[in-house]
Amino acid sequence: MSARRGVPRQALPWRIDFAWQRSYTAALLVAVLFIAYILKNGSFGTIEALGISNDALPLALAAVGETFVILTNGIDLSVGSVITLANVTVAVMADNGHAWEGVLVAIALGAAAGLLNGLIVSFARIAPLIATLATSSIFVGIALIVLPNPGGTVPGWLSTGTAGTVGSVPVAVIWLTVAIVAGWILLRRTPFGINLQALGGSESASWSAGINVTRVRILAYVASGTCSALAGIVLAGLTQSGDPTIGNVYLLDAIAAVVVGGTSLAGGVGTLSGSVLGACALALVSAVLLVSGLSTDYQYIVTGAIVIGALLAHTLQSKAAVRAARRERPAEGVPA
Amino acid sequence: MPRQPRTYVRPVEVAVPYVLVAVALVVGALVSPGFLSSNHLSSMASTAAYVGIIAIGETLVLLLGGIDLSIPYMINLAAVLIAGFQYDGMSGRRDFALVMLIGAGIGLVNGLGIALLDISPLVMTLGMNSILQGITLIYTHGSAVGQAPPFVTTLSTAWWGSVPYVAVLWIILTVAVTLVLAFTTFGRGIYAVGSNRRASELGGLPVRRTIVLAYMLSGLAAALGGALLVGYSGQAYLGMGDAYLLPAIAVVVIGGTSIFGGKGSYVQTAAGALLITVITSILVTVNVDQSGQDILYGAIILVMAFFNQVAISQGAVSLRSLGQGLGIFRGWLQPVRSREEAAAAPEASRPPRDTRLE
Repeated sequence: MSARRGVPRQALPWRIDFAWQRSYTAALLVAVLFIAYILKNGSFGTIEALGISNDALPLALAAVGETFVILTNGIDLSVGSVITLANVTVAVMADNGHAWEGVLVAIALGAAAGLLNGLIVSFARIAPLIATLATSSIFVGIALIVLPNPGGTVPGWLSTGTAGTVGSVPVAVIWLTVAIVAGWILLRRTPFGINLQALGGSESASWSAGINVTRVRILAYVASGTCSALAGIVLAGLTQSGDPTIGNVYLLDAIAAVVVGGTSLAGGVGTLSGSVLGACALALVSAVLLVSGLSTDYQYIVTGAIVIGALLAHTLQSKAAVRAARRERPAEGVPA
Repeated sequence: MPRQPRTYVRPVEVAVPYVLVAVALVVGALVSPGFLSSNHLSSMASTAAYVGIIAIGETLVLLLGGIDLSIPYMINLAAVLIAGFQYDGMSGRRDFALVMLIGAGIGLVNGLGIALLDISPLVMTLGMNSILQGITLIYTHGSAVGQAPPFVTTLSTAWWGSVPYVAVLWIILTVAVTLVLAFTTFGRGIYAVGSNRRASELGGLPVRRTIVLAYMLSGLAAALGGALLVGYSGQAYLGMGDAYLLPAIAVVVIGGTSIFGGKGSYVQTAAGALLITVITSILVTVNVDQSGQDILYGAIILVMAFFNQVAISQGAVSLRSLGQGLGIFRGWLQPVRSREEAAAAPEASRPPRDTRLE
């Protein structure tokens, strides 16, 4: 496999297995919340699944995009504004009768936005936090030119392709499953995914091992922009219109989902599938609180506590894993 | 004699944003005749004061190498509390102080999580923002009530002749924060921790106490900003802090403080707040709409970040080179060499090498 070209084979399994262990915590959280939901609600049918998965899908896409960048030890604060930009682009172009073209243009715009971020971070050497903060303002400005006020329409196929059902299974559940599997394949089976984790682990070591770090980093930002654009398109399908403020809430929520999903903000350790699970967990939290009869106001408190708690759990988990690994293989250098 | 270590704040880094503010003011005067009227200058100063005061805390935590994302709902919680207390008949100074204490207390929780539990500042404050959002919503039941207490309204909107109170407050706070950063153990400790936490620990600094105190001040500054905003708009509303998260970070960056910690100062942040306010005012004057303002805002952050991080920090721009480039102050800025420096730079004083033996 060409995956081996960049990184020595032996160095990989420990670090990657470790990242997967952290996503199991997110899976456990999803399972617990799911059971809590069923116990509280009494039943779980298509309608309930539809509500939760429609909540989770755009957040999951945004979180997956954010994960690419966080894995490189960066951060992308332009996620929300790229979502907005894609959302209004689709709504306006569909309104003018160019729905298919609108979807393609929105994806291209998202990729271009990511490319711009990647180029600025790589070549102007501006810190990712500042670079994406600045570009997010630029993207919001462009979105306001495209569509100053909420409006536009969306064709039926886009709504059924995001908010519809196949038999009794919501389409969004299928997309979420696809995202989990695709994330698994991408990070474990492709050179890009493995180089991405290597870059986040140590840029200088990756460079020494012959990885084109600049290209990997730029690709990570392009992937982030593309995923955010997909989230914006999905939101257009769900709300059946465009809104120049729709992306605002997704920035901090996407980072929260990434953290719950077990990705380390220090880079190099994390999984795309974990972030999808993290987004599902956050969507389930509000659903569980809703069926428990608690005001949705409490969802913010619980979400905040879960984000901080998940990070603490992951920290304890990594400490335990490092101790165990040192016991088993004291001779090998185990990354702390 | 060992060379004196370079001070944390280099004059050129402070001078550049202020020079840009002056340039922006001149551009504004060219664009619109009334731009430099005392009335307009004062209103710009008070606009800059709000974001400037909110950015005090962000400056401190960014100097530490941290970040505070809990600012939006810290502002909003303080705002709804100030107005809500007034609604409940608690509009005294003591109740105002209570809100400030709550701000500092929430900052304390942030700081303890970050310093003692080693939670990443980004996650801790992000989670805290969510928690504060929930508390704000529960407290207000979805819609904020009450008005600004009289003395808060006075603080925010009254003018002293042609000088707004809030601008005076901002100047006092700027001087205070600058002195604290430059001359106290706590202030110096922030730079030390931001430069190298491990070294600061080994050097015996109370690292954890410094971190906790900085986040407490950040919560306090955001709470003060929220209270002043209530005074400005007369009432509190939900989501009023959302618009301040990115500007609070942006003005710090525009001023030239490094987000990696250890480099920068609050004087620079104040200049950043002034610069962004003056530029926004020019854009409004020439009828640039919101979208154009957003795009230019982003562009300014990019240009300033590039300039600060690349040109100045790598030494390509210095006060001397600026002065020489402008052609003024040339006589003043001729390199004056001390004896040590002359000894350390022997090329100029050494006689031509004798090449006969080679």
